[in-house]
Amino acid sequence: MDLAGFLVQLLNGVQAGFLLFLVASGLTLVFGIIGVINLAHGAFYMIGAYLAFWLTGLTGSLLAAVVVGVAVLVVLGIAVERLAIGFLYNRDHLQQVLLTFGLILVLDDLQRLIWGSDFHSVPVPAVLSGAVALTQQQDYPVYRLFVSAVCIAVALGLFVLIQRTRVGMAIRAAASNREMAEALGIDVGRLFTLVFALGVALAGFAGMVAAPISAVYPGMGDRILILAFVIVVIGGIGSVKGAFAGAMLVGIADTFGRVLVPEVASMVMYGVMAVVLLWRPQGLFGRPA
Amino acid sequence: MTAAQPLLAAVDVHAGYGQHPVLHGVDLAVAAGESVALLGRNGMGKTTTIRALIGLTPISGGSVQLDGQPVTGLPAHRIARLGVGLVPEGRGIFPNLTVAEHLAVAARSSGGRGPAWDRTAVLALFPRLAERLDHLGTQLSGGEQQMLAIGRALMTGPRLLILDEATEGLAPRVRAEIWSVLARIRGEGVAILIVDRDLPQLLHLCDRAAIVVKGRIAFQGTAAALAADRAMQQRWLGV
Ligand SMILES: Nc1ncnc2c1ncn2[C@@H]1O[C@H](COP(=O)(O)OP(=O)(O)OP(=O)(O)O)[C@@H](O)[C@H]1O
Ligand SMILES: [Mg+2]
Repeated sequence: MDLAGFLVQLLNGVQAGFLLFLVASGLTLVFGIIGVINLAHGAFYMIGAYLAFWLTGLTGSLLAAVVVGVAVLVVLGIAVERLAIGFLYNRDHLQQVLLTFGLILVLDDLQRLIWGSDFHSVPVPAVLSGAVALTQQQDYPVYRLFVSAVCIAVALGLFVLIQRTRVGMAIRAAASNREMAEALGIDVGRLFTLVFALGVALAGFAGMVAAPISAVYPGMGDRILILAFVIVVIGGIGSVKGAFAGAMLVGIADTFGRVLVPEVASMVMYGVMAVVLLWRPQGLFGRPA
Repeated sequence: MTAAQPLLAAVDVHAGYGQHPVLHGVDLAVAAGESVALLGRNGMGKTTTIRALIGLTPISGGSVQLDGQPVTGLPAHRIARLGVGLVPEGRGIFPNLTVAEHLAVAARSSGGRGPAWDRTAVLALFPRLAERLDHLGTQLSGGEQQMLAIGRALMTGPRLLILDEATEGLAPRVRAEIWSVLARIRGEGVAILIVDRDLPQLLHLCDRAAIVVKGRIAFQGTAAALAADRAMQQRWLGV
């Protein structure tokens, strides 16, 4: 691999990492704050991608599709939390796993019912369809750079929301001591509904912006779910900072793995996870158990 | 001090944990602006009484009214918003929030209906906290945590402040400071329901006292009556 090729792969890895961060942050937030292991997280990623496909077809604009799609996802997230997840707080993790696994089946069927089993693609928006020259021989697609920028913006937004706003304070308070937060007049049930919807929206949003890069197909959330779990474990369960570090590690390792050792590429990320866990069993930013 | 309508009125309250009943009919009243000591030996149900009153432990029988309005079965956050502030056993400080954030997250702009305490007023009450605004909950001493727990409760603008063992495990100087702050809070017209081990201080602060014995109220009367009755203190409080 020459330097330019290396640079392109590094950019690809970083960009994949950003996208993975969007997915993993939702997963780790929902687990860290409301204590629910959401196996259906990947299915929401898939629903997001299908919404992008469908709404881009209807409106002719990815931007419009994203705006409408995020609203749909938030409503979907609120509904799922109210009708199902809300009953799982303080329950055994096994029950959560069973219910959210059931949700995957429901969402998969829903997807098949509405959109069928075909593969689809979403066109890159015209304004972002160009490429920038990295070197004389190497170009890099503008859309991929754009995706990274969007992910950075979302990551910053999340940081500000959780660390700097009153809602974020209430979320952190409720996560550490639910009863005390209630006794201060905070409606923790409503707050947790919002956090779950935020997690769903993050997964779905990632699916939407990823749609023009990857194809849109049934079961596309499964691989993403596994990656997201690997990332959350590497970063430390519940830590958004950890999700970011883990996503970058996995994004870059996975990208280079596919180029350098294609035969065993799918195992590279597990290798990374094993090394990290040997070194820090609680994950990079996790609190020791 | 007896108002026609008590601020808080609990009638025949039953509550417990799972299959384990703890309260077997608690009757308790706190008038507006009044201070009431809730006494009783270890494990008699003082904390459970408080938890049941504010909706943290579900009530299986009886009723609770705030200002004549039934609140039985309301979720804790609704009861808190009606003007009840809690300083819980163990202080309930959030390890991951700074002092400033504790005060901000508790602040009720809509008004907790009691005297309005803002950050400035709370920091004037506890100058130590003003020097610790950026410290996390875990970085505070026990005394500072206790001050923060009280300040945080005041930020909700309570008409009734409930304190459970607020001087527990503190150095004598810090205790004295807390007692004097409680007297000032009382002077602002906030009603107080307080559990503590320091009987002389309680009798000094409070208008009335109630004694919990095995999940029932065995005595309810003026602080002066309890202070005068050594036999009763001996029998139910072991002092
Ligand atoms: N979370 C709980 N689950 C089950 N039983 C409990 C729980 N909390 C308290 N109890 C029981 O309820 C009874 C009353 O406890 P409570 O904490 O109300 O007493 P207390 O008067 O506040 O005691 P202390 O002076 O030790 O604080 C005790 O027998 C206690 O063992
Ligand atoms: Mg107690």
